[in-house]
Amino acid sequence: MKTGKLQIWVPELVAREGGIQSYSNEMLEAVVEILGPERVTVLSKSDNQAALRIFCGEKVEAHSLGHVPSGVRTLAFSELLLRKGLTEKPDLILSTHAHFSPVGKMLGLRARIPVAISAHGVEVWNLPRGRTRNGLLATDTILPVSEYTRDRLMSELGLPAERFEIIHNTFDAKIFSPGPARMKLRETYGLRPEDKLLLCVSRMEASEQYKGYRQIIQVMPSLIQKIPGLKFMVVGRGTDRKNMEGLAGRLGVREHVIFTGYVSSEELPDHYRLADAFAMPSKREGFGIVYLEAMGCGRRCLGGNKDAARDALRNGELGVLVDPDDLQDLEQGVLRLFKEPPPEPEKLHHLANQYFGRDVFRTKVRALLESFGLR
Amino acid sequence: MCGIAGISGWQKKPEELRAALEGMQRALGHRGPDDRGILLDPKGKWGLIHTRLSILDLSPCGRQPMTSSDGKWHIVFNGEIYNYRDLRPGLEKAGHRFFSGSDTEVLLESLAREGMGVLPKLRGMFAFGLLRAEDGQVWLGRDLFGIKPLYTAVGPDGELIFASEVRAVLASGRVPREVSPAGLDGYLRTGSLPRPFSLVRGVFQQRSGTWSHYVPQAAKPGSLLDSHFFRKIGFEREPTTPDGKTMMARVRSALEESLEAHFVSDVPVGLFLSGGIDSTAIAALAASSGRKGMQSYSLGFRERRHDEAPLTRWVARRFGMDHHLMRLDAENGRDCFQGYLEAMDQPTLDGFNTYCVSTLASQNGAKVVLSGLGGDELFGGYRSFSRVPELKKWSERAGILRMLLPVIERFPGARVRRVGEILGESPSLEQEFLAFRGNFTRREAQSLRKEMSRELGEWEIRADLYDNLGRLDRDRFPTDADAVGYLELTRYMRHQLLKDSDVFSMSHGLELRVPFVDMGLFDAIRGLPAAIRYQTGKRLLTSAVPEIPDYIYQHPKRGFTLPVETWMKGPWKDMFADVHKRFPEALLQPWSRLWSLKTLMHWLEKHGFAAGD
Repeated sequence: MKTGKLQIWVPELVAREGGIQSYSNEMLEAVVEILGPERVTVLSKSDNQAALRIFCGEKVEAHSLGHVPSGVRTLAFSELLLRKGLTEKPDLILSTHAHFSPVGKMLGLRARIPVAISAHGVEVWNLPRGRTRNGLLATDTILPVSEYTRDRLMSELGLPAERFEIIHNTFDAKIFSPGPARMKLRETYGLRPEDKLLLCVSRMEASEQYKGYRQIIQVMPSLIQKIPGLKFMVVGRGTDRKNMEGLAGRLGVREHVIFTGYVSSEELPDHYRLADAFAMPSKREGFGIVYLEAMGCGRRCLGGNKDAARDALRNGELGVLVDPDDLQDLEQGVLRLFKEPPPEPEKLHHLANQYFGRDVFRTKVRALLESFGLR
Repeated sequence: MCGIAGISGWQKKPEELRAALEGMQRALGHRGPDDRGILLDPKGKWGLIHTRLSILDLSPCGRQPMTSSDGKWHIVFNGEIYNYRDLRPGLEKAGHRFFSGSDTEVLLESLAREGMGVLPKLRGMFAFGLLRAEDGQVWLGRDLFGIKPLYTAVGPDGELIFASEVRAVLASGRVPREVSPAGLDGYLRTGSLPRPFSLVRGVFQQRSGTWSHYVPQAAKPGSLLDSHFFRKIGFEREPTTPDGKTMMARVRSALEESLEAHFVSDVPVGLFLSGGIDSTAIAALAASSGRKGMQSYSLGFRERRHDEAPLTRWVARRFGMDHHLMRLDAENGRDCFQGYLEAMDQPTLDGFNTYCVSTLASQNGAKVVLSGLGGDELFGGYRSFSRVPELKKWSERAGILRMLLPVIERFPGARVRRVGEILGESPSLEQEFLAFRGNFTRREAQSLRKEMSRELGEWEIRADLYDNLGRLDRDRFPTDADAVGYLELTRYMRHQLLKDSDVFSMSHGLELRVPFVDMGLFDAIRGLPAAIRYQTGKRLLTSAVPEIPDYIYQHPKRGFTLPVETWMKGPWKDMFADVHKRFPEALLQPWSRLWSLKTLMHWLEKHGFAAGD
């Protein structure tokens, strides 16, 4: 017996790429598969309406406010959420961003509509007193993407564990799979057959000093001594690139550091395959989908032990965890990546899929929907 | 666990016996979807039938009717003997070689060897019919609390007919379709069928905690009511108060033991979560015994006053359960109400919630679920524990108000008429309990009976049939609260809650188990003074299970209530139009009265009883 309607609120699905957007996509796909398109309504804040329609397909009711000037979009979107909530009275509202939590709270209080809100990382940590925080406090169920975020929210908001349901990020195991990298790519980046490649995939924003590529560059001089032919590649764009080029130059390792700039999502899997190992000793990761993608391609990962990389690398079961503030520890970690016998790519892929694959994600979403009476 | 029925002392042709039994078996089909068994006397004097819901020993070895190793005894049994594994070694020592892993075989061999003396040793819920092959003599037994139902009747040729449900007795074709005036009175007064009656004249309930013996040649309808107690429910007359720690430890271990016993099963055991203290306590105890991934089931509503869905979700998560929720609204509730009416064995004003949540559980493949039923009765969760003694005191002092009785009894407001009822009787806890729990007042019930049936004789309409039932032996109870506790256990819980729970879960092929309604647990607390057992907020229970999260007991108590009242006034109005048309509006408030008359009319019509004119 199929019962219940669902509304899903997203910042955007089509317009930009990033962790929250990719999570929103996965969530939408999952709920449409579980409930069927007729029982799902999508409300998107910033997508282009026509693009969203194409993206969601004809059967899913989808509305967005991408055409509204950004200055008033938040207000207009709140009005849309309230209106749609009160008229449709869904059995569950699933918001993939915490910023919509104040509207969720209003609907919960007024119309008794249960709300579940995803919590990714920085956007919910250290929330000041205010509407978003109050909204989250009133939320039926918060959906952190990692134990790390859950634990932080538990202590910061003073909520018990049962108010949270962890739904880890997932990845597409068909796209991110082991295999040989295209030779052309090696040539493009001037890699010799004997070179060892360490990869990092990250935004490079000067304002966000937590991803950890800087620290890797800092230990490169020493690493090169121990791993001849080591190259470090950073995939991603941003304002910090200039600074990093300068840093690498000053340390005399400019030749050993490759900045690729923007790489499209189609080309990304081959970049993982090109690498021998992956490292992002970040300090403030809400989850770190890039670890999953790297492992999906069969590449061993290094992550920081102070954030949700612990979740993605399962406390060291799947990869190496280091103290991101301790350069020595970082260096030792990278050495381990190269000195220890590499894991079989297929096996690592299998494990990543077993813990974080789409099936796991869907099972979790299905159980969540069940607990709200949606079947 | 199953549906059982049997006939003994048959005087007609053997083929007709088979037909009668097969009819009964069909009527019990929903109780046991897994297997069906029939056993017929070669001489055609008796027969037993069984419909099976396999829970212990899923193999064909657990089939019923089962015959003892010496071939002299046959049994049909419904229920669970949770301590059957403890009883097995004794029987093995005595030389019995077990061929199955079922509790039925343990029960059968115990009864065959030790007779009815074994009954006080059984932990669990049961109703059975034991038949001696050589002469067709039958022994019937039912558990102490009345968890499992058993009905009996004597047919026109003096044959004994017994079954798990009234409709199965009717399906034998040997009982005339006549309304029992006393049963009807009891139903109208209380909202359920009080012992020993059913709604059918001549069909009786086996008394809980008793066994009875039937000899084919000597059967008269009245002889069925002669039963022998193997145990009675009672509290210690001189209770003692151990120190706090000892007491908590005792209650805790009794709770854990009971729960452990109720987990005995060869299929997964789920839980009905209501968002209250009792079911949360079960969830907490289950988790602390290391059980993870249990399935839990709840109802949710859009009506805020009734919705405890978030609480149940949080509790389920806290204790690592896999939670399922059914969001019930006026629309899907309609279908459920129709299903509920069809599933009913006897009319009732309750049980809709059990029906709905059982639907959800069975859709998810559950076969056994636990419920928090009984926690309120044992630990004083009802207002009746304080209100009923208060009412009695008030009634004792009412003196001069009694002169206004004739006016009050005819007052249009139902509440005032209820006051009239209290004043009209001599003050007693039984009367005040009835006033607190009851449905229609005596006078209202009389006028309804008059309205409903012209077949009933004058006496059967006028007499206070229900009130003639047993009075409390006050000497057995040290305090008023003890007496109320006894009434809650033996009247409301036994006749209303347990019966509804059995019927509406079994109608989905689902076994409902009640860990609070357990002999061991009861024995652990019956020696404590009422003031400790019945502390406000069920403190005895919450202190024994400190894992219960504070948001559960800080939450105002709502029980497992439903927003049906709102629906009955609005979107469901059409479904109750027939009742509105037939009975005066003054009698249809509050909603429980309307509900109880609806189920009554539906039942009478469905089973071909003349519902009046």
